[in-house]
Amino acid sequence: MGKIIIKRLLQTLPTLLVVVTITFFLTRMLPGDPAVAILGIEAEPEDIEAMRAEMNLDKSLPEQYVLYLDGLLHGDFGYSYSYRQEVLSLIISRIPNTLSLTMVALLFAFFIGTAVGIVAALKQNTAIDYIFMVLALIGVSMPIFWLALMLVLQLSVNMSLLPVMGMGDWSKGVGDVVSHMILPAFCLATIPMATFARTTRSSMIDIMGSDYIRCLKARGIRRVKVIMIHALKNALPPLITVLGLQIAGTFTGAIITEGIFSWPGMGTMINTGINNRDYALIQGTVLFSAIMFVFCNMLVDVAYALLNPKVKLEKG
Amino acid sequence: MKKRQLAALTAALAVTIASVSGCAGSSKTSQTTAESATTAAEATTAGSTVSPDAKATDQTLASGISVGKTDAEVKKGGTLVVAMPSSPRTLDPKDYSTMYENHIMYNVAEPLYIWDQDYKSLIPNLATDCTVSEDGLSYTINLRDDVYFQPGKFQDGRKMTAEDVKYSLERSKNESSSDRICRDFFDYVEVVNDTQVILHMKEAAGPFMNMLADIGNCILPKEEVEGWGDEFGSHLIGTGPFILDEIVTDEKVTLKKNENYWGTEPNVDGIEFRIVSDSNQAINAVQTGEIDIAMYLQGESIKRAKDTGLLLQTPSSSITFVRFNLQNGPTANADVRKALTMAVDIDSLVTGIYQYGEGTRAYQPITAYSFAYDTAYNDLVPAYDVEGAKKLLAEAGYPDGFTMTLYIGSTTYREKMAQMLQYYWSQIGVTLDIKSSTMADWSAAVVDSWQADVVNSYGVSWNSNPDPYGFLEKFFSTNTVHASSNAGGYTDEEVDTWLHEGFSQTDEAARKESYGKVIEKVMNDYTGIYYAYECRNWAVSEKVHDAVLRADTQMLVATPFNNIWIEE
Repeated sequence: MGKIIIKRLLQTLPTLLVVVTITFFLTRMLPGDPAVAILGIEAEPEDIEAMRAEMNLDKSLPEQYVLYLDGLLHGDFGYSYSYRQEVLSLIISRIPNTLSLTMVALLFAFFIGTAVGIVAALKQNTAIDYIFMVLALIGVSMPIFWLALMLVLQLSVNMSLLPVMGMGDWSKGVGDVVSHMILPAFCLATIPMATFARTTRSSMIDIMGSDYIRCLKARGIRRVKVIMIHALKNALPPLITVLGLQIAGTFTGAIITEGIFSWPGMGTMINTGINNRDYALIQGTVLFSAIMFVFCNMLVDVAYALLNPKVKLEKG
Repeated sequence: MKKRQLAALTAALAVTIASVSGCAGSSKTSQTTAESATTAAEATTAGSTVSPDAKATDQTLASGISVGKTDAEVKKGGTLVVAMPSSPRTLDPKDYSTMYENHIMYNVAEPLYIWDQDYKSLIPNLATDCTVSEDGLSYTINLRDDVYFQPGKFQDGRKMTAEDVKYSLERSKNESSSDRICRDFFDYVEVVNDTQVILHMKEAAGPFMNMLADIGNCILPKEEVEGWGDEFGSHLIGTGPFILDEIVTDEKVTLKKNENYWGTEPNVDGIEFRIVSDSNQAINAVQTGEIDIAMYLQGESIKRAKDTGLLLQTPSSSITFVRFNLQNGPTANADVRKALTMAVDIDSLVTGIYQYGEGTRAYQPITAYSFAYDTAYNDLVPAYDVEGAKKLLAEAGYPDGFTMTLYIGSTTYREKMAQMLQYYWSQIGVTLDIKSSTMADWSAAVVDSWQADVVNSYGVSWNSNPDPYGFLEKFFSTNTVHASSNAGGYTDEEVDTWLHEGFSQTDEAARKESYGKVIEKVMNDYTGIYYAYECRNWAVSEKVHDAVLRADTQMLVATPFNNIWIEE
């Protein structure tokens, strides 16, 4: 399996090259001058020209592209003029913050969503089922920024239960970090949570109606054991597929959530990069996101094969 | 007696500034003070007189940019938490470019001179006095001899000397990414002794002295600058009341009190600038006490701050306007430009755009804080007259109107303005095609396209220190025709002569006369509609005292005129 994984990884290289190329040329097509974005509109024309030269923007597009690819091959993602730091070190410093938020949100979403889905399936066509599914529909449809502001107004401003924003400080104890995590993670979790609930419900309804489950029930095996061990195990593969897709979706959602809650992660950085026409930063973060997306899909494939022996990872 | 004189001065300043501004008062030490300042502004706007005694009881200075002091006992200690929308890129004085950097730098480093509280004149800071030669070619400056740098990696907090002034000002001239010191006119610094320098000029430059107050010209220790090299922007060392402690990008910048500060000892132990990009969240955090001051409020968040009694508002030193393409298309005709101006009810335009009082009526292409500003020129703006505008347009050869473009940055204020102009100009048969984009795109469009008759007009806000040079030279000099400040392409030989006169003299009265001619001429040329002075808006927690929102919107924590303290 190791060799196959390596081969799969190598196969992603052309995909990444396409991503790099498209991103490079798309950012250059954006109207606006990065030098003006950095120096401000009050800057003198000669200062703007000097900044353009420093950023290599006075070179032709093909020259800039070759320089960028050459840098990438040497592990150089470029220099961010908005942050005045190397892009790679910026990404490395931010990724733990974003990953911690998205992982907690996904854990929230996965466990609560799956539990809700199971209950809804078992109580199919009852009031509980309808209520849960309406809630799931609301969860999928609700804009994160609106939900976030409503929750902050109620839980933070009116009831003083949770902090309004920020990431918390480990030096103030675990409680500080956890309390800062709850609102952004919950807001970020609403969409995947609803998706997990609906997928679990649908999958469980199919499985609970299958012959082998009826057979297990007939043999007098305890209902909890039938559901948690036999049914759930077979309901998992579709959930894993959804999980793979939701990782990318949650990562994207984090861009908005981080902005609202002043969470210093990749999202805040991407926003800054776009607003400042920071080409190297935009390219670096898009490339990194693509790498992560490809890697997650790879993990999902592997997990799928491990969970369901009928599924084989094809060679080549 | 002295107190009464100060009180009278206070009220006089309030009347002057409020009459040109109209924004609510900008001081906040307690709710009472803020409310009284608001009342002052309202009263003066309405044309009534304010009694000096009535206004001066709890204010040391009052104007649209005043500070208040209460009799309450000052508490020492605590950290002032300030929310601002974005991280600083660099704190190196030669490279900074945004207001966010300014807020931090002004508390860590200091220039020779600083602006006074009403942002009208300079007061000595690291300098004690200055003598300008009659020909304007040399500035002899005496320095304080009790100023020490903050300790850093490459020096242990040594005394500041004239050599540091020479190093810092010449570095600003030679290495700054923007011109902050009239670099084509400033020559070099001669060190006379440890506490005296002479700044030599190649040619006289009127705005030079005002430029010395730019934080880009703060005094730095050479060994720290050169020791850190490119990293100095993250390790700024200066002589200010606070020491840079930690920068966590996109999260916070913390400063701690400089125990060895030469000036007034700060009341607070430190400042934490927290990065909060969402202004609604910033207000929430002020309400919960997580943040003490939220800067840069906009739109609905201003209303929320007002409703909760937390708003601090003052007119900034910027001017907001629509400029016309003066060289191509229908707006190249002065009668067309006059007709377009006459077709707009500018008072209603301003009220419509700034519904929370965050903008006030302007008339001239210059900040109201400038010494060259004179209300006498306000009458040069043609009165609102739709029928007259139609007639004038017909006489100019456009009886059926025409279609024109307006390029703006995609902010709520600019978009509202554009929509209202679309309505006003439709009444005289002119169809307005609004082109809204980000500021970077806007700049590229107006600079690159105005020559091709693509950009007929553009809307923007322009900020500078109150020296008229930062406005009039940038807007109307032939030298700036290809820059974004004069993308409309204004060029006039007479105006160039007056601009040069205004620039090359050091006497303020003589400069005012030259710049006055410029203002009169360009207003008679109907170059644009200079419609508003936008206000800056903060939400300040009730527990914060002695906060000042000056026209340049700096976060001033411990200065000669205010020293913020926080109630427990």
